[in-house]
Amino acid sequence: MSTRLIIRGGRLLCPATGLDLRGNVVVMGSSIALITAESVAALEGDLIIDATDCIVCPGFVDLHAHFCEPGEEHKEDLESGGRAAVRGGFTSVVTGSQTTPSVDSRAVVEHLVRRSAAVSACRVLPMGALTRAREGRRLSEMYDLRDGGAVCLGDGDLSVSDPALLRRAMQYARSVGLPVFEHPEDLSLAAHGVMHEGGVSTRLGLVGSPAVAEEIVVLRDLALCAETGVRLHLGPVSALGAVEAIRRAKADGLPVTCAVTAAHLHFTDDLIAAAYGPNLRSRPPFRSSLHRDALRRAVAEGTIDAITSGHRPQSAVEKDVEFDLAEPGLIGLQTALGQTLQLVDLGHLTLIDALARLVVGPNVVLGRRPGRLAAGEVADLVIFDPNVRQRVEVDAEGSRARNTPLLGQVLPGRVRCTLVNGRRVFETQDLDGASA
Amino acid sequence: MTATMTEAEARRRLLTAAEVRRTVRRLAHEIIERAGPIETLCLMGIRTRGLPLARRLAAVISEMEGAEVAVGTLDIALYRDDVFSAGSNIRVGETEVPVDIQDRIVVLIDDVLFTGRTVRAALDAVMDLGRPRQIQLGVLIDRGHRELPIQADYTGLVVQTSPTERVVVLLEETDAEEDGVYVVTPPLRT
Amino acid sequence: MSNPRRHLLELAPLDATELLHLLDLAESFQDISQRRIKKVPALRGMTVVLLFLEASTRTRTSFELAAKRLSADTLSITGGTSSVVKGETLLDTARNLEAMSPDIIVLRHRHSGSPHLLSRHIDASIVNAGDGGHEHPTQGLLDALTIRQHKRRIEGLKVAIIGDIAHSRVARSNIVCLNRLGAEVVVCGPPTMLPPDIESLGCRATSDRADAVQDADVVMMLRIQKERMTEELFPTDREYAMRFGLDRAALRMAKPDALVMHPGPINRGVEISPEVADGPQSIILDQVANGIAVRMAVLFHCAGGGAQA
Repeated sequence: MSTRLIIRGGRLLCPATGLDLRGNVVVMGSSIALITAESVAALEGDLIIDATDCIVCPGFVDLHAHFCEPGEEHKEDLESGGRAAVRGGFTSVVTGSQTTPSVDSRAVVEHLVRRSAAVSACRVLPMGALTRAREGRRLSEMYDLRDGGAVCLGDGDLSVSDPALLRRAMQYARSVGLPVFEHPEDLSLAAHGVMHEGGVSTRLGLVGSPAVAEEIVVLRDLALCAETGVRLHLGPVSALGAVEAIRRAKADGLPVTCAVTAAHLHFTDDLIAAAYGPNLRSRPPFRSSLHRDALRRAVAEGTIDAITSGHRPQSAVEKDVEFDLAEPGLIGLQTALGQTLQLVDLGHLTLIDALARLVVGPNVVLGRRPGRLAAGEVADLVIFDPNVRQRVEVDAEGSRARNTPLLGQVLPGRVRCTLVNGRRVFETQDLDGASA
Repeated sequence: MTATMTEAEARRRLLTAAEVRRTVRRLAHEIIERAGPIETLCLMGIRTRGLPLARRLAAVISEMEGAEVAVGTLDIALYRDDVFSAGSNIRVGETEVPVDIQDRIVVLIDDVLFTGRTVRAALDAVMDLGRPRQIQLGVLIDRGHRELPIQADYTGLVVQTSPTERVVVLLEETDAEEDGVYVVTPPLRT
Repeated sequence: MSNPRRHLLELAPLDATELLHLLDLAESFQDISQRRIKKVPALRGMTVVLLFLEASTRTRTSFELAAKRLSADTLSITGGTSSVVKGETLLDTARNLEAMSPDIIVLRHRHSGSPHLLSRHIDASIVNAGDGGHEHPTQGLLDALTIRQHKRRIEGLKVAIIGDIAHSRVARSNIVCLNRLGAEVVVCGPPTMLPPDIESLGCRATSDRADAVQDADVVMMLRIQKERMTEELFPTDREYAMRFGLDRAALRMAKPDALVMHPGPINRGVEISPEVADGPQSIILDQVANGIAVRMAVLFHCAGGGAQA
């Protein structure tokens, strides 16, 4: 018989069921055996985790992360990315199809599934490419990708520019039963822009990518979604017009979802003015506070279903260069929870809604049943202390990359322990499970 | 570069206004005697207090000889050897020379001759303006403590000072105060 | 022990006092260029590296003369001779230069913000000699100095800047500098050349040439840089010249004593007609002459000289 794990004295929060209880969780093997407010007597051989002052909730699911494997393992790989994920409380991560080669064949998907099972601390859910080599010219073998383990179909950080091809792809994907992920950005309108087009880009003399470059793709995709009936996921979104269009589409009953990165709920374009910091170069770009505030409202009201990490590792080679030569992206797996809790501190979001965007929303997007705190459920759990504030530092044990503008800043919340499939995949040193 | 005097500092007067006036007249006489024909002469005041002194000398000389004498100003900020030393607060002023100094006799005029470094800088500055036949130096006060082999051709007054003391020359034109020369002793540190 | 490095990355953060300090300093350097021996020893023993990764003969020679008139040793590295083109990054190049202990690096580069990048990583004073579409601080200063010399003031003047404002670093440095010194700045160009929210730099924007030029004290024309345009911003040279160029008829709308300026090099017949460029109101050559004095002042200032503003 496997060891029992008793998580004691935490605040048990389950955004899917609304459970909010101070009590104990008993994990047996890979699943939750018991949720109770009663004290649980420890037997010989039981492992105890003291969760006093902590929140215990189902593990977070990330929709937009990049582990760079295969192809760019000097930035991150399935192992280091997985470490970063579980240190940030994420138990499942959708990895983008923008690898080299792209995730456009069953062989690559199966490789990812096999290798991640061996080396990744979190569950890796591969995104399959919607078009071959993500070139936007020919459909990929979507059934095969699904059967190999892909959970969604999309061209990673690209949208399909040819509307006729996208229409066929959506029609086909619908029968495959997987959601289509679009990164809404019209490359012609974006015009090699390296930041949000506005007063700040004007002052800095940098080429701007206008909000309309995103909005026009969202509008086009919504029209195709309405026509084809495919489950469409747009993200990450960054523009006011985009979330407004999605809000209307949802009201009209379209099967559309969208996501935003935790960073986009905070950062604005004027931060770049301080010193042209290349870690603030992102796709989509950080926009003005007008857009940022619209994103915050949309997350609170639920128009935006999920908060994601947007984890995009880069090495110094890509970042220690001129701003407009720097590769876009910043890491986020280990700061997404902190930035989300910051929104709770600022009063933009309730704690339960914040957790819903990290746990429930992403599962809805993927068409999965959200994880719950209930007996019989798989024990993918995170235990975090919302009241500890900690400084963001380079973490040799986490992501291999350090491209985040948050280094040195203090964020609320600290993950104490993460469980995947009942296994403790991360635990802070000062909270070693004591044997009874 | 003379700092104003503070209340805490002890000051001793070296020259009164009348004595400054008499000293300037004597220096003017010596310059007429020894600096050759007035039409080849050019007085160059070193900013800041060398300039009014040069003008006063020129006025006396013109009055006695009945002809105008050329007066220029020399800003030596860019020639100083301490131009970038920490705490230096040098203002760059303009150098104005009304005549071509080629083959002239240039008399540099300054208020106080101390280490000689200002004069060294002034010599370089003049050389960059042209090739005078001769360069001479006139100062109101020579207080000693030279750090370079430089001496004045015309000296108003030689005084013995200690290196920590300061010699302060006040002139109506630059200081809006009655003329006077003082030795200022910094207060003892306790 | 040493003072913190002084850089000149952009004019935007400078206030009127600091700008005037640099202009006054430049004025005091002007007579040096009139002397027989056009040299002072202020920067003797210092090394000024001119890192010009984008071709610019006039700005580079102007900086080089300025450095030499201050007695600095200069080392010129231009796009063609540098290894940046061979895959070495800007930082690699700069770190190699740093090993030679330069006191000042003057950088011209086509990427906005690259002087900021150098200032973060390199222990030398960085002077921006034009970075992408961001700023060209010494051009802004020399234009302000030229205007002040001719008009004896800047405050209260109406200055029209006409051309491709969106891609012009000269426009940005001029707008912030002149606005801060009290001028009324109006920028003008086709809407495709007016960047969003340009007003936040401290100017008014219009696409009506008459509106911009009317009663102006200064009309500054910008070069149409076809070689730098990645997309089409106006239909033809002919239409541009008719709607936005400066010819005698358009100049008549300005004040009778209005000054005509241009940072050069000129496209005669496109943004400015030859008779205006060479006419009595043109002070284009004064701009070139003032460039040396301004760059001397900037180098002297960044080396740590002069009173702190």
